Amino acid sequence: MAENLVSQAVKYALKHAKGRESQTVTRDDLLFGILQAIARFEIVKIGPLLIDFEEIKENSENHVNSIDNIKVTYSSKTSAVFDKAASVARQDNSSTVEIVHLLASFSNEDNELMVNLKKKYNISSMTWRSALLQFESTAFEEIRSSSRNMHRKKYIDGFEQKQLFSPDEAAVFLGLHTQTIRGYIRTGKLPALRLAGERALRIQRKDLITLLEPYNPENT
Amino acid sequence: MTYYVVKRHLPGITPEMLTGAGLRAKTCAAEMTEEGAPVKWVRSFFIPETEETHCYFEADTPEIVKEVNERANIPFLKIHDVLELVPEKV
Repeated sequence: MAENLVSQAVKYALKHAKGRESQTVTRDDLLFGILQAIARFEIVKIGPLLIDFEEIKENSENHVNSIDNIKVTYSSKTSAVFDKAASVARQDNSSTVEIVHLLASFSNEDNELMVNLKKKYNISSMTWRSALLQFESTAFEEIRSSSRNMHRKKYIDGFEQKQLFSPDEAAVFLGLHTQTIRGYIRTGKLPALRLAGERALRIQRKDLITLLEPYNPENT
Repeated sequence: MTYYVVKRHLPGITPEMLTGAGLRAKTCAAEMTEEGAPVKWVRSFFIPETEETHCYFEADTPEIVKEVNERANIPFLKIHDVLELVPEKV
């Protein structure tokens, strides 16, 4: 499995559960893993929200001598968070579940860590979700850049003959963010096709080329 | 490694729930592989008419396949050995 932010977050979550010497991965473990995966210098930055991950770690009930050979299982509630994240990803027209979708799926969860975060940082479901909108285009961007470059190379290798692009591929093709491409599609700036009976969008090469126009310094 | 099929009957399951289950299977398989019990979720087929799902895994033993499904919290009916046939090889 490619080492992306989601798999990294899950790894941390499983480790956290083991650190509690628990056989069950709870929603707190999962959220902890997600925050750990996106933390830099022990700070989690989600749009305007700054969360002190050092404090979360200190409050975490992990034992120093964690048992590595514990076999952990997802709890039903944690499984439901994955389902919810998949649903959020689908609404977001994303073919894969990304870290932002997992985070969004926590907006109405009542697990202890989420409740504490809401209280401490005065977060409502709405502020959490709106922070996530900015998260994708700022901190998320930096963290993902290395893995995205890998994807970019993989995509570009097959671009020469390609006539139809997914929004992700179109974003790489034009050097823009996927959300920008989706914005262009929503506003009608970029025509897109829908696969019959599916939610997946495809963009024709000619429409991507049409978006480009010669740069004329005199007009700027 | 050998191929196994995991048969499930999942009445009322939504595409989102299938994706969620897939993500759990993938992450648990990665975890178990790291632990020294290599297992790979290969692909799954969902049959809407019967609400059955056939999930193909690659592992050394059926016990490993059973464990990855239990850890991922995905219910199943049976695990069978599979004989692989591909058009290129017949």
